[in-house]
Amino acid sequence: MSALVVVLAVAASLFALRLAGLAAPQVRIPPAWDRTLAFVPVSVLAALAVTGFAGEARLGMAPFVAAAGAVVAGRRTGRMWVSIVVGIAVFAILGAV
Amino acid sequence: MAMMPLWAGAIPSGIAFGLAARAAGLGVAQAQMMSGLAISAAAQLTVVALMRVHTPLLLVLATVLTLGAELPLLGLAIGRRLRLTWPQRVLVAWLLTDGAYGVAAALGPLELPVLLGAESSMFVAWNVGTALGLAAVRAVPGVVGAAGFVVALTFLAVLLPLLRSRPAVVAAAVAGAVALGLSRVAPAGVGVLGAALAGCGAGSLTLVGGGRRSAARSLT
Repeated sequence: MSALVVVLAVAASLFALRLAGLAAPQVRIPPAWDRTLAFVPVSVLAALAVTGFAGEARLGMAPFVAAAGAVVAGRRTGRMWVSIVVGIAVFAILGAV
Repeated sequence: MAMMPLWAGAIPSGIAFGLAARAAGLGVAQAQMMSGLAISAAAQLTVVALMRVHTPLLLVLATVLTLGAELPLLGLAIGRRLRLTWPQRVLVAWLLTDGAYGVAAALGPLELPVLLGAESSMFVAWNVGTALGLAAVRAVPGVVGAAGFVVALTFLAVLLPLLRSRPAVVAAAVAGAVALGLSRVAPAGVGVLGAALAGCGAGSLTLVGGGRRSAARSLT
C-alpha cells in the first residue's frame, strides 16, 4: 500500500465529509442520530488510547505511570498540552532510571 | 488572541503527528502534505497508528469516516448561517476544523472572514507543529522509538477535555474495554470500529436513561 495513496485517500474522505454538510444545508438530521454521533470522538479516541498504551506494554510500567501523570495534569489544568508535556516528562524520567 | 488556546493544542499534536508519521514510514513530504490537505489531528494520528500495524486501506478509510462522522454536522451548521458560493464552500470545507468553527461561532454572529481567519490560523499552527515534529526526528532519530507512546498519550490528552459528562465517561469506558478485547482477536481497524459502535450505543443509552431519570425526578 503506497503511503501517497493513503495520504490522498484520507484527505479526499475528510474533504467529502466536510463539504457534504455545506453542500446540502437544508438536510435535517434525526435527533437520535445527532445524539449518537456526539459520542463518536470520545469512543474512537478512548479505543485508540487504550490499544495504543496496551501496545506499549513491552516497555513495562513506564507508559502506564506516565499516562496516569498525564491524566492528573490534564484534569488539574484542563490544558491538553500540559498533559502531553507531563506524560512525556514522566516517561523520560522513568526511562532514564 | 482567541485562537491561542487552540494553537496550544494544535502545535503539540502536530509535533506528535510528525514524529508518528516518520515512525509509520511516511516521507517528510508525504507527512507535511497530509497535514496540508487533511488538517485533522485525530484522523491523521489514527491513520499513522493504523499504518504502523499494516492495516488495509479500506479499514483505515472506514475508521477515518467514522471518526469524521460529525464533520457534516459542522458543515450543516455553517451552511444554515452563511450563504456561500461554491468556491467559498470548497475553501471553507478544506480548512474546516471543529476548533476553528467553535472560536468563530463564539465571537458573535458567524461571518465568513472570521471563520476563514480562524481556519487559516489553525491550518498554520497544525502545519508548523508537523514541521517541528519532522525536524525533531531529523535532529534526534532515536526519538522515533517512542512514537507509539507519544501517539497514545496524544489521544489521551485530546480525550480528557471531552469527558465532561457521565454519558461521555461511560462511552469512553465501554469503547476502551471493547477495543482492548477486540485487539486480541481482530485487526486494529475492526477493533476501533467495533469499539466506536459500542461506545456510541452505551453513551446514547446512558444519556436517554439519565434524561428519563431527570424527568421522573422533576415529576416527584
